[in-house]
Formats: sequence, structure tokens, C-alpha cells
Amino acid sequence: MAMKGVRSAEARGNGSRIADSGVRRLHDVLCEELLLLSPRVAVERAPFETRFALAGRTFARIAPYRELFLVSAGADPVCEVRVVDSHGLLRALDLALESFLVLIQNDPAV
Amino acid sequence: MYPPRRPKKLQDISHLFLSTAASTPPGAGAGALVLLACHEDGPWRAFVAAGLARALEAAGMDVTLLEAGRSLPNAGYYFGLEPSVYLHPVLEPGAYVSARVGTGLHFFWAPHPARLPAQPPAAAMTGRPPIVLYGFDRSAGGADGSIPPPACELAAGAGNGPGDGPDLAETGGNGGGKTRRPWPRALVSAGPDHESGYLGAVRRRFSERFPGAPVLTLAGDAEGGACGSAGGAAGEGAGGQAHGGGSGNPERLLGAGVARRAPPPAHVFCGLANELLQQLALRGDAWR
Repeated sequence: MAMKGVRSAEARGNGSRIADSGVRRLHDVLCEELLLLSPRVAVERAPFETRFALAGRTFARIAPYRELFLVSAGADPVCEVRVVDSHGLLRALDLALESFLVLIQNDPAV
Repeated sequence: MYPPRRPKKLQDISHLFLSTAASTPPGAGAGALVLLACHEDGPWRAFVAAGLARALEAAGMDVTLLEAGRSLPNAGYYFGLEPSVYLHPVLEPGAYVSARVGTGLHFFWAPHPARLPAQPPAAAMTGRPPIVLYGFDRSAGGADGSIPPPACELAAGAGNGPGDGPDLAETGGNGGGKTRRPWPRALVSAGPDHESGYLGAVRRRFSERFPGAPVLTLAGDAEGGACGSAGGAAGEGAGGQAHGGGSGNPERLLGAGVARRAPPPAHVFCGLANELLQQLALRGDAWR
């Protein structure tokens, strides 16, 4: 349980840069959902983005800005979604989910 | 030269227009309930639930799929629903997904079983035998990681006495069911840890609660083809139960299109669906 809290805090950390509280909440929701995909999802917090990876392979990146955040998912090509509202969040989550599933499909052992 | 056409006899064609009563398909008004316990880690729950639901629909059932589990994806992903439909409970605590995704398939999902309808809605008047498929994983279970209480209550007849079917039995199909008849129940477990861990515990609890009800195990293709089949539901009778062989590697199933926004092809799960229907028919007086 403590480990889960650490992962969650790590994932949400960069969201403090988002000034708009509503958008920040969407950022937190997305991070929580990505962590719930699997206990094996790893979080890496970089200065300008947060990466979510499975077995060392990144499937989603979140880059927070003052009024929005950008979600990049997939490998080739990378899809980007600007999230400023709930509609954008659901699109971003949908894309990140697909990217996660592609990793599993290509290698079910991950 | 074509041979001269001979007129058909009356008995060959009379069924087309001489019947004055509405036909009652076998099993209409009766139903069955299947609990689908899945490994928590990864997309097992949604993938198997979507595939099995589609295979049961293809077999002529009117399927109500109830899915409970915290993690994504849910079966809505595999049914190709819009993100605003299949993901909206993420933003609205207390909400659940409800969508009709085929002629004989109605889908519900909620992160927690308490949010799902306590009783599935009456089956559509399709004339098909209704079947309720309740998919869940550990995140939806009780504190001890067991079968979710709502699923157990539904299987037990929701307080209407042991052996009684859910309320659906009174309203579904042409037969309507003035009197309650027992619904056959079954458990399917799907995931890599059949013998120990969560799925093993669920199987033991189910057998204690519903002695004699069939328990099937989803096994993958032993040869490991990319399009793994799900025919691992062999009848290995043990105290009146059917345990799957489990000799294959079920994880290979996930290679059969787990990222595609479409249910696994029906043939992937048709072996399991057929075995399941056979087991249920053997145990249900009202279901044949």
C-alpha cells in the first residue's frame, strides 16, 4: 500500500505546475488511471515530463504546462493530445490505454 | 435440361403458415448465470469477458454482461465504444456504463460491483434464452479477495431462496416464467494462476457455496499459435464439477488481438462457450 502511495505521488508530482485547479485534477485522474493499468507500470519523473513504462518500454508521456498538459502515446507514430477539459482527458486515456495494450499484445510476457 | 419441378407436399411447407401460435424457442423464459473470475493483472477481465460474451451471443443467447473491476480496459474498449461512453465513470464516481452492443448483448461496467444494477434489466424480447455473465477480478472482490458479494447474491437468487434464479427469470423471454425455476450457475476462471492464488481461492469458495455447479478453466492453445484457442474446458469430473485441463499457456490468448478495438473472433472462445452451455444444460431442468 505504501509503495502504491509512493508511485502515485511520483506520478502526480509534476502536476503542481498546472495553475488551473480543474486541469490539475484531470492530470491527477489520468495518472491514477495509468498506474491502475497494472502494478508493473513504472513511473519516471523527469524535469519536464512524466513517463509511464511497462517492462522498460514507455507507453505514455505527460508534459504539464500552466493551463494544460500534453499526453503523448504510442511509438510509431506518436499521438499527442492537449488536455484542457474532460473530453480531452478521455481521449488521452483512450490513446494511452491502446498504447499499453499494444505492448502486451506484442509480448504477452511483459 | 432441368428435370421437371415436382410440387411439394403439404407437410413440407405447412410449418411456414399453418402455425397460429408464436413459436417458443427452447429455453426461452429460463436463464443461466455465469461468474467469470479473472486474474487481476492486465487486461484479462475485459478481453475474456468481451470474447466470451460475443461467443455466447453467436451461440444464440441473449447475453447480459456485467463487468466489475477497477482497472482499465473494460469490455467497452473491445466493443468499440467511444471513449466518452466506455470511460465516463472515470470522471463520474457512482456512474456505470450501460450500452447495448449487439442484437443479443447488453453491456454494463462499473469500477466497483456495488455500483452495478443489483438486478440486471429484463432481457430484451429477442426470444433467445437469457444468460447473465458476471465478470470480475480481485479489485472487485471482498476484503479477502473473494467473489464480490453482489455477484454471489445474484447467483444465489438475490435473497429469493437458494436455487431461485434472479428476477430476470420472471420477465425474460416468451415463457415469462410465472413460477420461479432454478437457474443453472457456473464459474469460469481465466488467468495464469489457476491452482493457487486468487483464482484458486475463488474456485474453492464457489464450490463450497454452490456444490455441484460446473467450474471451468480457461486454457490457451498448447501449441502456442498466435491465434490461441480457448478450448480448455474439459470435463474432468471431480465431485460433480468440470475442471479444465489447463495444459496450455493462457497468456498466449492475449496475443490474439488484445489491443484491437474489436472482440476476439468468436471462434477463439467458441470452444469454451460451447462447453459452458453444455455443462449448464446438463444441470438445468429448465434450460434445454
